Amino acid sequence: MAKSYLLKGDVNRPGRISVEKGMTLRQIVDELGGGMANGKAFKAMQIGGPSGGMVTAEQLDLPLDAKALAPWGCRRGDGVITVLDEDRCIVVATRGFLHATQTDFCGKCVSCREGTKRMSELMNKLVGFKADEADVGMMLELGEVVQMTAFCALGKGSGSTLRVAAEAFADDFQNHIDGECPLCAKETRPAIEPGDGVPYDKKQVRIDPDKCKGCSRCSRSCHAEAISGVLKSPYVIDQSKCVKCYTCIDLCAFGAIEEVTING
Amino acid sequence: MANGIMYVDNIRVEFDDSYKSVLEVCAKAGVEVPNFCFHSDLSVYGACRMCMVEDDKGNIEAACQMAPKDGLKIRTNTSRLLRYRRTIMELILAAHCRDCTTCEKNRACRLQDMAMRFGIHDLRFADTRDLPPVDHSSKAITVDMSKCILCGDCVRVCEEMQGMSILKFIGRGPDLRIAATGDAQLSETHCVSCGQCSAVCTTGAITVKNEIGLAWKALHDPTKRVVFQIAPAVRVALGEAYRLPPGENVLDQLVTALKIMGADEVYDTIFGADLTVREEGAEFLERLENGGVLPLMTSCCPAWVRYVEQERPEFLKNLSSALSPMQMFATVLKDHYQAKDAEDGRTTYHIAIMPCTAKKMEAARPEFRRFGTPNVDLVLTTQEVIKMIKESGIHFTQLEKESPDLPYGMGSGAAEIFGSTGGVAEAVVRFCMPEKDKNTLRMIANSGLRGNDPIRFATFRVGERDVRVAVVNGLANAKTLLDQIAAKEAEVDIVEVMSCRGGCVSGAGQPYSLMPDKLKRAEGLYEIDRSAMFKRAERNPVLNVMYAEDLNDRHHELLHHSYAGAHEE
Repeated sequence: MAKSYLLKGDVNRPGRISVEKGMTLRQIVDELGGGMANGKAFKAMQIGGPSGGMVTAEQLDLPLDAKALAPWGCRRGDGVITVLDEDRCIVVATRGFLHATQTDFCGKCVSCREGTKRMSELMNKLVGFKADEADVGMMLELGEVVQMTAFCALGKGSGSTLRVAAEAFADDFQNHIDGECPLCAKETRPAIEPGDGVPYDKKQVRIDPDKCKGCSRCSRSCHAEAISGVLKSPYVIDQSKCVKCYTCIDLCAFGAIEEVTING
Repeated sequence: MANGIMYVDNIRVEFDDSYKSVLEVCAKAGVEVPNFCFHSDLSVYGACRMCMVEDDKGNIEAACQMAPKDGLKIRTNTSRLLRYRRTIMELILAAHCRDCTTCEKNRACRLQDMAMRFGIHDLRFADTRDLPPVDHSSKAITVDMSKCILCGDCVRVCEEMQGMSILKFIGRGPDLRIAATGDAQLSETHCVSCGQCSAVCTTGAITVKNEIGLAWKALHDPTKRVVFQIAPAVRVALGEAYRLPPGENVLDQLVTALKIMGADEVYDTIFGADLTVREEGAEFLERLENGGVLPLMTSCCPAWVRYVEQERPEFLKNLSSALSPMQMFATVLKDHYQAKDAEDGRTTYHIAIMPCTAKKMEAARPEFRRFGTPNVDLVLTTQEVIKMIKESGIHFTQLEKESPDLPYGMGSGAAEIFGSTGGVAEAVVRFCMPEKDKNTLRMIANSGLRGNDPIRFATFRVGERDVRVAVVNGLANAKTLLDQIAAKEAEVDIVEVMSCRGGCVSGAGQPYSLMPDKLKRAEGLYEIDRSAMFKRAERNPVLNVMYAEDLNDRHHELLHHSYAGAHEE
């Protein structure tokens, strides 16, 4: 079953894409995205937004599949795939995803609310060349604490992008600690903003009653206890309780749950 | 009956259906897993993330949200867990006002307690919050959200226990905060001042309004005669601050302590309660006989009265016009002391020691003023009195005992039990029943009026007809009962309402405690009743003299206030 994503960043044909099951990341960049823009080389790919993860060129032949990409923290998340080319500074890109946690997350649990706030503050410091090794270490430590202790999948995923970025692109991080980043120095393009441009309060996660088989899997996995229903009949999401962590979208075997944009 | 066995840090623990979470099983195993947002009287929230435990597969989960499972093996103190908890604690402390020495909750704060357990001395993060101003608008409680750690206990108690939903979460992510409905000052909302939010607050963010300064000022003023009354629920809880068991009666030590601090006269609110029983009982019998509005609803609880006024005015005519014991006492006292004041040139300053924050609001109501001053000049909660005793350096447990002064220091056993849910109803039933023998008392005691269920019913034969009594505690439950009455699903003649679960013994002015201890306080009151000299309000000899003198002619003027009438004007 094909799943819809938003492809953005440094590819020739950004936009809505429909990804068939089993399709590799390379196919997404080359076939659906029309290859890298301006003939530049691929650097990294971020999948899932603030609660998602990041992969490098080494993982390009893996399929876009939550299980296969789990070690890199990639999940469907907000359904956005961001492609970064060789000239992008990974520190600046990572800050964008961390900042998105500050507007997109609910703030209920301590580890996520306070943890992502501090990670975001430290990341600002790093981008501004004011952070040292200890600050980066603290960010990673916070990332681990939030990943292990947060209430929902949003918080748990908030440190993944940083973890992969700091490990795979240690040079970029070191440049920012040292006070001079050649990539930032010559960068003239605006940073890629995460997300699909729709503000948080204009989105809703909904269950399509025609597709829902009433298996209860989403309801059992919902941390916010927002999904209720009777077995074998369509389930519904209580919008006042939903924190939009997208766990149910990832899990639904029937593709019955989707994020929709609401008017007004 | 055990329905499973778990291993907590290799300790074998049996658990049954009463254990809802692994956190509670851990406590049984003797391990108090750190937490802030778990409150056994409320629903599970799972926001503080402190109670993380690890199972034998290395999965980490919050113990409060984890259902006990047979064969489950968990560790509570692995190196990872300790590291995570320390970091979370550090994050909480970094976004918290840390002026502990000047905080109202100093040494009574769960956060402080936990910080002590963790021994964190250096914080790696600065406090970067914009702080909201302190809300002093309420007569009963003070709200300083710079001390809030967003555990949500207050939001849940306001919604789940009281059904009010005044306090709410506002905003998202780093801007999440707790505020009153519509972000208004508390006094502008429909808050009934029950104060239960302050009773569950983990930190010093919501506290009882501190009016100790006014009390000292009056005590040190030679032109003032400072006269105290002490409510029943206070005497069975105050000792907890001195490690005495809940329910132990420390009234006589409290009288001594107040005298040392400079009190001129110390009386007992049970005198006022006897007045309330007689006035309310007579009102009920009169309504019953003459086809007045029934059910008659008690009006002793100021939070409940405020609730009816604001949310359910259609029931105002059901409220008893008899004043609360505190106001009855104060009115009679101030009336009698007019002459005394004129004689010695002093003015009587009346302080009521109450378990309740809403009494502060009641005392400030404009209708409860005579001679240009409030009948009750100041309400101090149990907590505030404890602080005053500590400030004075008095060794409370070593004090000699002294009975309250006469004539207003005596009352019936029926008045003592006013502090427990069901107590007011039982006192009124004792008054209304034509049979006055011991077996009738026993029958009333075992009728179902006592207990801890949210709503209880009992029926009594009074003369020619059955009188159906309902007892309800917790405002959310009162709401349920009102709906049943409105829908004619519950047909009753008398309704006793106490806004706090468990009654006045659970008032927000009492020392911090959980339900089991609150029930022990109530048990303490019933114990006092069992050994009381007389059990019925109508046997109070002082009152009988007063009614014989002039109270009979003036009781309507002094002891009644029609809430319904006041709202029609």
